[in-house]
Amino acid sequence: MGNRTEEDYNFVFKVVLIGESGVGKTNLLSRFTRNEFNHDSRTTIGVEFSTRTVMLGTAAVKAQIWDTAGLERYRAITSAYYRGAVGALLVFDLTKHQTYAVVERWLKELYDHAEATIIVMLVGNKSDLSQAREVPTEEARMFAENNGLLFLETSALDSTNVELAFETVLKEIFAKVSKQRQNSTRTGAITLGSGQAGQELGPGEKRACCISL
Amino acid sequence: MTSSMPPHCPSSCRESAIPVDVARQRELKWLEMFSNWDKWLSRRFQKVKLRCRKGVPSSLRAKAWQYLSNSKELLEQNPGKFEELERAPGDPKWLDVIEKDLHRQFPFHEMFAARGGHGQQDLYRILKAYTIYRPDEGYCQAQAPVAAVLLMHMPAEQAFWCLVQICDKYLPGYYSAGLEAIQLDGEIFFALLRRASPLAHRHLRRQRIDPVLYMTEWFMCIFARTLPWASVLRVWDMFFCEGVKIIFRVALVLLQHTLGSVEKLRSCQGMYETMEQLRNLPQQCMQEDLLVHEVTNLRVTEALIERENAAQLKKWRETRGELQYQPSRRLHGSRAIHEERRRQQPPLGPSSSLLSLPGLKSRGSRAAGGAPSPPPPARRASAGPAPGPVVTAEGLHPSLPSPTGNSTPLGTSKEARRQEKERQKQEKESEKERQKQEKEREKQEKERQKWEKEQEKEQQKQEKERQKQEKERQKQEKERQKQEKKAQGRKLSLRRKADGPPAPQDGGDRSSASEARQDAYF
Repeated sequence: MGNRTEEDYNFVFKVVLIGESGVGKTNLLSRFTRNEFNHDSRTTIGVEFSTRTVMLGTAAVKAQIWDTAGLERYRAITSAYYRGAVGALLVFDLTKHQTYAVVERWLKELYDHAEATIIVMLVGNKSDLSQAREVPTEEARMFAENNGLLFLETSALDSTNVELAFETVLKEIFAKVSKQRQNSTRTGAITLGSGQAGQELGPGEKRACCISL
Repeated sequence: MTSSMPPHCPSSCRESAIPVDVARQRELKWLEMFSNWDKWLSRRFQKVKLRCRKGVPSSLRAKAWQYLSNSKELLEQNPGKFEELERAPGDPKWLDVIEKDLHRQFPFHEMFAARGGHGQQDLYRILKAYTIYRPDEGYCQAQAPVAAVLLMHMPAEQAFWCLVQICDKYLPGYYSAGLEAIQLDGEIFFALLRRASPLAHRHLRRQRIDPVLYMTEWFMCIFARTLPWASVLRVWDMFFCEGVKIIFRVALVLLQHTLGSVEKLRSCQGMYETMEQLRNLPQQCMQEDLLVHEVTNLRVTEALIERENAAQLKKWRETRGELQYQPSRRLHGSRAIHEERRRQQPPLGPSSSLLSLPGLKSRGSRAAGGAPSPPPPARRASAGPAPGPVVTAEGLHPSLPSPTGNSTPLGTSKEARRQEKERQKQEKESEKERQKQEKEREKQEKERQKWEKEQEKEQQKQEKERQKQEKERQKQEKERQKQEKKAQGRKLSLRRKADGPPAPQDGGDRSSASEARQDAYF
């Protein structure tokens, strides 16, 4: 992944993290964007987010990753959260079957609010706790295949597959955008999805001016 | 971004820096208020409000919060209720979530750092008790930080009833399924922002940033996770006295400072940049003194909020139908709670069996005799004036015979008296313990403040660096904008005009000010 500065980017992709409370969404985010892990990270209330710019081939892609509270009642306020998202990581805790059992509900939630073209990856997190595993890899993989999702098992704690997970999703989005771009005359940054997303993420005239801490 | 840090922040902005004699005097004033609480609330509320705005002395904060929220009386009316709730098994669905969250509240706070430590245990007890007390509401994650702040000040049982008052009276519906109340308040907030900072309002609207994207945590946690600690306490002091209005005002002040000028907006032209800015609020405006000053001067009244509430509710019904969850009426602070209690007091609830009915009756008749404010129930009156200004802990049951002699329990059977005595004994003992805990907590508090100061310093350092970078970027930005201007013929000066008058909300407010019969602002 590249070491370009935050300011240089050709694409902005909004990616959302979803899944039950306590599966490790916030730590996946902090591992990917800041290479940090915290056993006692605070509960997410409302919305958090962070960015990281990565190189895909010659293109700089700014990944704007949104993280939200997993508790069911917060879903009422998440329609704003999904708006403009072109990728999603649907995270479950592979040591807690209950968090996997509700994946389908999360999928529905996602498709209800996000673009139909959204790239989704099913992520089984906490692979470092293999002795406590409650969800067999194959089962989750099958589910992902049957539902047209990407699939990976990660560990935010020991970093396993975290980069790969995000990178894979971003690449998929990129591929889709590239295809779309062939039909588009627009130059500069392009966003997937509707005009809404374009407005939000902004065309190339907008520059990042914030630093993720 | 405005000029950087407030390292010039005078030491006076910390409570610890208040001269001892002043602090002592404040304490005495508060003790005097406690001893005649009902009178103060009904006849001299403005003074109470003023004193809350000045900041409650930290030694009496816990007690003040309980008096202000009336959770003190609730506890007295429900002896043993908390234990009963604790003993109940509870819904595993909630217990599971609560357990997951225990170590995720103020993880750096000494009290909550240790897994399974006292803080986390108490937190569990309170949150669990609440799900049994209000099975229809269950548990919402934002309740945990609120409960944690309470626990930093008072024992679990008191904290529980305080939480109940917050959820029931101050912010009904905030933590309920659907979070409709929060969404509605988001809309209300956005409407108020239009008056308070038209520029920020327009910017957020253009960026299509829904209020819930940034205000959810602020409002649900009453800023406990947003502001520096000293400011959190001051905001809570005011909040307990004046209610949700304070939350709106704080949020408005924060936005004025973050997105309130053309200059500030220049650095956050995109949605993401704006969101980032809102998550990294300028330190200066969060600083205790400045924040409190601006909050008290902001003309956003109860009446205005209620009016906006009605307007937004109407809009909601038109576009989204009826509210699924009808919360109880929101009470704007301690006087409203006090008044409601007075209205409801005569027909005593079933849970208040310990209150003496005959006493109340006689008092009721006296009230009917034209006294503007019926004297408080006996135990309230008797709980306060301990001999001398002894700082007592909270949740006292009357340990002295009431001066009005009204606290004689119903029936006055020997058994009852014996029980009463026993209870008092226990009370005294637990009292001592509580005071011990209190002291310990104060120690922790001091340590935390120290730590916080250090953190602040670090943040300031970072901030400075960031601003340097910012400036550079702004330079580039300017150049770019010049080009843009040429291209689009936009006139920034127009925007600047819009930003000019700092208090454009005046006009609309004046009328509402007269409507707000009680809510003078200073």
